[in-house]
Amino acid sequence: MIDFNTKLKILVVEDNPGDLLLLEELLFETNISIQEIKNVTLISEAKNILNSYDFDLIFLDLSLADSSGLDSFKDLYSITEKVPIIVLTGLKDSSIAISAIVNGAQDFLVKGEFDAKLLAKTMQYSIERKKNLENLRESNARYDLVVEATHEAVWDWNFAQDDLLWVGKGFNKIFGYEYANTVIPFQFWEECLHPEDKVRVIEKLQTSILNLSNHSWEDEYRFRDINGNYLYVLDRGYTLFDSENNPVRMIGAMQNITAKKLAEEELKKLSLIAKETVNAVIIASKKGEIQWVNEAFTKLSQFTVKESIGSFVQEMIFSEDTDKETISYLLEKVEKDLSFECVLLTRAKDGQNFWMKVLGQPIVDEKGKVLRYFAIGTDITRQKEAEETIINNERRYRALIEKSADGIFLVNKDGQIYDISSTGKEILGYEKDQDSTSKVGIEWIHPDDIEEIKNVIKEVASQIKAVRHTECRYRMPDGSYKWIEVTFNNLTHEPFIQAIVGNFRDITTRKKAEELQKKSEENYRQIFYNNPYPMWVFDQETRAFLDVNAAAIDKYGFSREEFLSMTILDIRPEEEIPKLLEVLDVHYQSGGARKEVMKHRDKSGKIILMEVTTYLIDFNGRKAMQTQVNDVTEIVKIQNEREIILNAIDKLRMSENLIDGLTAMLLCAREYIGWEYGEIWISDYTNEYFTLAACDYLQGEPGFQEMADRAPKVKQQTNKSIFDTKEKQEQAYWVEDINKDPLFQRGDITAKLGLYSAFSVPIRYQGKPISRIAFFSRKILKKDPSTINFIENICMQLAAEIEKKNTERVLNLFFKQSNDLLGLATFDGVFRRINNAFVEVLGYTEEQITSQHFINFVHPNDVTKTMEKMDELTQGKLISYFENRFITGNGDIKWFSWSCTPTVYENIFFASGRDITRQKKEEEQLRLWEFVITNSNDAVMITDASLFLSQEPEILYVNEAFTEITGYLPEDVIGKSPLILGGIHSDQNELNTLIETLQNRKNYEIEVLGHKKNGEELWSDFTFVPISDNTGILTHLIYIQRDITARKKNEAEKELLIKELTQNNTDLKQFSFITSHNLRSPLSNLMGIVDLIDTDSLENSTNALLFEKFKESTFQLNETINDLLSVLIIKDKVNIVKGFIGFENEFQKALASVSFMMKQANASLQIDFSEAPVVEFNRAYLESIILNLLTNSIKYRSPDRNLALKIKTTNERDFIKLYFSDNGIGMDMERYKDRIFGLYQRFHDLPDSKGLGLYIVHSQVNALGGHIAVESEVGVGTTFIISFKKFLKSKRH
Amino acid sequence: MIEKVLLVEDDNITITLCELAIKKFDFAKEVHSSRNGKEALDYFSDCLKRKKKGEESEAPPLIFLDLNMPVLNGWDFLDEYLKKFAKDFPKTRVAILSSTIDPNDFSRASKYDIVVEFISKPLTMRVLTELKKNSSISQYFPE
Repeated sequence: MIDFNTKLKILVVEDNPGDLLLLEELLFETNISIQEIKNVTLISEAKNILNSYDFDLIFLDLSLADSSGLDSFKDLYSITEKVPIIVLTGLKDSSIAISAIVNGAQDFLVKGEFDAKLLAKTMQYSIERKKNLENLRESNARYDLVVEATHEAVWDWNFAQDDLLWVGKGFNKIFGYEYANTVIPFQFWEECLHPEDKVRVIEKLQTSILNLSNHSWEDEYRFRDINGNYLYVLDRGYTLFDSENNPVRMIGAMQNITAKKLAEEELKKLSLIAKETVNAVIIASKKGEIQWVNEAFTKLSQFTVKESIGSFVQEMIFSEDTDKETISYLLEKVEKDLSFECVLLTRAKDGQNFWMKVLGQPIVDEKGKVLRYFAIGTDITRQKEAEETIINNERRYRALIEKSADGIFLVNKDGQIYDISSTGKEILGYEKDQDSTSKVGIEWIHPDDIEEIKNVIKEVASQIKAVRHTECRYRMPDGSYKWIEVTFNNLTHEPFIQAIVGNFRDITTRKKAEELQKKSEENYRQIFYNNPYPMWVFDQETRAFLDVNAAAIDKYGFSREEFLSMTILDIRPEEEIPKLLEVLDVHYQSGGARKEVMKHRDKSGKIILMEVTTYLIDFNGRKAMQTQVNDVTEIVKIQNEREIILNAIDKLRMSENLIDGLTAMLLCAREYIGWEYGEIWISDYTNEYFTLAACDYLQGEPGFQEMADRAPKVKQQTNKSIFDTKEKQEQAYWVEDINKDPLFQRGDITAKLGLYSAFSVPIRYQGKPISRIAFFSRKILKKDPSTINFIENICMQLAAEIEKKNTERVLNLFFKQSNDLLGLATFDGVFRRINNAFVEVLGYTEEQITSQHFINFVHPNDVTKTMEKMDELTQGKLISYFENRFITGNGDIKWFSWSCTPTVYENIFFASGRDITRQKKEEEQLRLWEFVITNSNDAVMITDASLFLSQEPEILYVNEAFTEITGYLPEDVIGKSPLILGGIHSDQNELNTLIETLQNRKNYEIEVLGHKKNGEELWSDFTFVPISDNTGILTHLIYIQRDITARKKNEAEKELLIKELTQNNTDLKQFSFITSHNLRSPLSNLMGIVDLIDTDSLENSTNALLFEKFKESTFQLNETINDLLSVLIIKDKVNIVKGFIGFENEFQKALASVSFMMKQANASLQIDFSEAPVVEFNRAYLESIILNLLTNSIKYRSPDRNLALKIKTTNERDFIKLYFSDNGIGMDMERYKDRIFGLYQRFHDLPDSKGLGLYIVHSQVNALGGHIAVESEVGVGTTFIISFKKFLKSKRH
Repeated sequence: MIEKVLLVEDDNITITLCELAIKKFDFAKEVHSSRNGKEALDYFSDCLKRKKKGEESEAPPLIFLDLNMPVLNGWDFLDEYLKKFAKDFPKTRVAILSSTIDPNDFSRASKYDIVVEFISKPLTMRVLTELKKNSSISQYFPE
C-alpha cells in the first residue's frame, strides 16, 4: 500500500489558470496531504523543473502553448518515466487521453468532469500503479542486468509447455549455442547432458521438483557445448508453484565450472603432493618424461627441477645396477595403466646409488585416459643397509648353527627349548625338515637325568657367560634312549642371541662301547683259551709267540713253554718263509684281519695246511697279532682232487672225439697221481672184448709209446686177459710188480721200460664195466687206497661221459644215415642239427635250413597248423604227430609226416619226418576217385578178376547210382555174381569178345537190354574197364553202367519221324521238280508262241483282243511260276554262297534300277550304314531284298505326301540289323500281323500287288539264319527290321 | 547272219518255236536240230567225218543247248563234245537254252569257256537281239 502519510509534491502543467485553480481546490478537498503544488505553463518549463526537482505526481494538460496533444505527454514522459502522469484533457480530446495511457500515462481526468473523490482515487491509483510499475521496471532492469552481467546461463522452464526459455546470452557465451532469449524444447537440454550423467541428473531433478519442502535444486553435471565437448556445469534451479501448490515453472542458471573442476583436480594433486612432501615426487608422462618434480626429489637426486623436467626417468635416475626384473615390472604396470609399488635402486647425480621405495599412481584425465604418472619415492637406502646387515648376521648365525655337527638349541631360564638347529633335530630323532621345534622339550629326557638337567640350566641361567657340561639320555620317537652330551652357555647378553645356548651331540656309541669294553675284556680270555681252534698271539716286531692256547699246543705238539720260546717262523717249512714274510708285511700295512691258507709244520715235521686268520691287537700295551688257524689239509686235498676230476671230465666233454678226450683226461689223472704211464681200454657191448682206446705217458719218454703200440690191436678177450676173474674185472686191481703176473702179455716191455707197479680201475656204467683205466709206475708201490679212490672217483664220472660219447657216435651214424628226416630244432624254430636226409629230401643246403625258421619252408596253407603244433610242444606236450607240406628247393611240394618231442630244459625239440608225398598223392587220388565213383550218375560195380579164369566173378562194390539205376541195394548184390543181373554174360560169343578185349587191357563198351530188380526193362550202356596191378596182372573189373532206356525209346521214335519226314521231303522235292520242269517247259513254249505270233496279221479285232488277253495271261502265269520257283529254290538250298557284301553298293545298284520310279515318287532318302557297313550274306538275296523293300515302299507310298525313306544298319551282338522305314500308307498291324510275311497275302488293292514280295524277302532272310520284323501304322508308315545272322562272332564293337 | 546253228532240244514245240524265231529274226539261215545230246554228238561225228573227207560242210558255229534231255543231257553232251570235237571245231560256241532256274546250273555253265550265253526259255526276239551283240557271235552280224 502506498503510504499517503508522506506528503506529496505535485507538478501541474497547466496554462489555464482557471483549470489550475479548480484543480487546486479539488486537490485540497481530497484531504490528501500535499507538501506543495508547483505550476508551470509550458512543457519546456516542466522539463526544466523536473531536472532539479523531484515530484510525486504530475498533472499534464495536453493543450499547452509550446506543445499539445500526445506529443506533450511523450515529451514529458521521456524525461520523467518514474513519475506518474495524469493527463488532463477536455471532453473532446478523450481519445488522445487514451493514447497517452497506452504510451505510459497513469490515468486521465476530463476537465470539469471530475470531483475531489474521483481525483483522490485517480491520484491514489496512479501513484500506486506507477510505484508498482516502477518497482517492476526496476526489478526487470536489475534482472536483465544480472542476466547480462552473469557468466551463468539462465533458464526458465515451463512445466506446462515443457519448454525452456534460455534467457540472455548465457548459453551463447558458455556453450556457443545461437540461442538467446529463445524457447527451446526441454528435450534439447536433456540431449545435451553427458550420457553418463543423464539418468542421475534427471532423477534428482524430478525428485526435487516434487519435493514441496525444498524448492531449490542443485546439481553438477557435464553439458555438451556446440562443439560437442562436455563442460562441467553447476546448475541451480528454483521451483515455482501455483496457488494450489502445483509446480509450474523452474528458473535456474547453469554455471560453467569446468575450469574450477580442473583446478580442483590440480588442487587434489597438489594436496596429495603436499601430504607427501617429505618424499620425492615426480610427475611423468607414461613414457617416463618428467613433467614435474618436488623439492624433496631434487634434494634426494641432486638434479635441479630444471634438469629434471623434460628428462626421462629411466635415463636420469635408473642405475646400471637397477635390477632388470624391477624395471620390467615397472614398465609392465605402466603399460597397463596400473599403479605400482616397488623398491628401486636409483642413482643420484653424483653417481651414488640409493634405494628408493616407489609408489606410482596413474593420473586419469576427464576422459579416463592415463597420460601421466604420479610417483612418490622414499629414500630407503639406510633402512635397506640396516636390513641387509641384520639379514647377513642372521644368515651367518644360522649357517653356523645349521652347519655345525653338533646340535644347537636355545633354551630359556625355565628350561623351555624354543629353537633348535636341523642337526639338532636329527640327533634328537626328529625329521630334519619338519617344523618339529615345538616337539622338542626336556620332558623327553630320561626321568633319571631330568633333575640334573634342570639344575644345570638353572645354574647357567643365573650367571651371564656361565658354561656347564652334562650328559643325559633323550628319548627317541621309537622309545629308545640316546646318550646326549650337552654344553649350556649363557649368552643372554649377546644382542643377537639373548638366550642360553645348548650345544649337544650324540654320544650313544661311545657310551655303549665303553660298556661293551668292560664285558669283552672278560669274554676275551674265555674265547682265547677255550677256543677249539689253535690260537696264538705274537709280537709284531719280534714275531715271538706271546701267548698260545690249548688247541695250538695240541695241534702242533709243542708245549706252552716251547711255543713261548719260538717265533712264528719256527712252525713253517723253510720254503714258506718268504711268502710268510710278504704276508706279514701286508698285514702291518693294512692292519686288518686276513685269511690265508699257509703251509705249517708241526713238531714232528709234518706239513699241514692251515687256514690262518690274523688280526692286530693290543697285548698289554704291545703291538701284537693274534692268529687263529684251522687245519684244512684234508679239505684242500679233496678240493684239489675234485678240481682234477672236473678238469679231466671237462677235457673229455670238450673234445670232439672220444679218443682225444680220453687222452686228455688220462694226462690229468696221471700227472696228479704222479705215475709214468696210463691207458684206457673200452669194451664192446657184450663186455667180452676190450680194445685200447687211449694212452698217455711221461713227457720226454717216447719209449712208452711201445706200450700202446704193443697193445693187442684186435679185440682183447677179457677172460683170457690179465682180468681173468670176475673180481679183477669188477674191482680195482693193484699189482705191485706187474712183471711177476704171468697173464700180463706185455711183460717184456714193462721190464724194458722198468715199470713195476700197476693198477686198473673199471669204469662202470649202470653196473657193467664198459671201460678200464690202468696206470703203470716205475716204482714198486704198495696198494694205496687214496690213489685208487681218486681214480675211482674219476671213473664214476667218466662212465657216463664215455657211454654218452660212445652212444653219440653210434647215434650220430644212425642220425646221419637215416632215410627219415631227423633234426634238432630250438624252440624258436631254427634247426641246429639236421641229417643228410634233410638236405637230400628237401633239396636245400644244410646252411639254408639251419639259418632260418623252418616255417619258411612250410607250405603257406600249412603254416598255421604247423605253428599250432609247435606251440603245443613248447608248452609242454610230450610228443606231437602231424603232417604238413614243405616246398622243396626246386619248388616241388612234398608231404611229410612228423613226430616231434621236446626237451623242455634245453628248449629244443627233436623232429623226425618221413616223406609221404607219394602216399599223400595216392590217397588224394583215391579220395578223388572214390568221390567220383560215389557221386557218379553212372552206376559203378567192381568185381574180382575171376571172369578171366572162366569163373563166376564176385561183386565187390557198387555205388549209389547202381542202386538208383537197377534198384538193387549193395547188400542184394555184393558177394554175388553179376550174372544175377542178367543180360550181360548170357551170350557166349559176346562174352568171349569181351574177355579178349579186356585181356588186351582195353575197355569194352556195349549196350544191353536187361531188367531192374522190379522187373522193368532196362537199357544200359556198359563200359568194362580192366584193372591190373603193378605187375600187370588183372585184379579187378569195373563195370560202368548207364541207363539209356529213355534214349533208346527216343531214338526209336525219332527214327520213325525221320522216315516220315524224309518221305514227305522226297515227295515235296518231286513236286518241286515237276513244277520246275514239267510245268515250266510248256509255259515257256507258250511264251515263245506269244512272242512269235504276228498280231497285226489278225484281221478280226475280237481275235486280236482275245489274243492280247491270252498274251497277258501267259505273261502273268509265267511270272507267277517264276516267283514260286524262286521261293522253292530259296527253301531248298541250304548252302547258299555267302560273302561279305557292302550295303551301300547294293543299295546304289537297287536304286539305279528303280530310279525312274523314285523320281516319280519324288522320294527323299536318308541312309546311314556307318554302324554296320558290311554284312555276310548272299549277294543275290540281298539285292532281291533291297529291291523288294524299295519297290514296296514306292508302291505303297502315301498319295498325300512325298515318299521319305530312312534306312540304317546297326551292329548287335548276334545280328546286324537293317532298318528300312517309309512314310507310306502303312498297314493295320492288328489285323495283319500274322500274315504279313505269308505267301500270297495282299493287304492293298493295288493292281500289281501279288503278295509275294515280302514272302520272298522273309524266305531269303530266314534261309540264312536271320529274321524279319515289321512295325507299321496306318497312314503313318512302315519300318522293316531285318536281322542278318552274324556267322563270325569273334568281333564285336 | 549265222550260216547254220545246231539246236539240241527234246521238245518238239520248242524246236518249232526256236526255228521260227531264229529265222524270223534273221539270226541264222539254217537250223539243225538234234533231239538229245546223243544225237548231237552223232551229228558232230558226221561233221568230223565229212571234214576229214575234205567235204565242204562246216560245223555250226553256235549250238543252242537244252540241259534237261533224255538219253544224254546237256552237261553230258558238253563234256563229251569237249573231249571229242572241240579241238576240231574251234569256232563253235554254245548257248545254253533252258527252262531251268536252278542257280547251280548257272554257275556250272559259267565254268565252261565254250559256253557264251545262258538263255532262259523261250527264245524271244529280245534274247536273240542281245545274243547278236555277244562278242563271240557279233562277227557274224556286221552292221
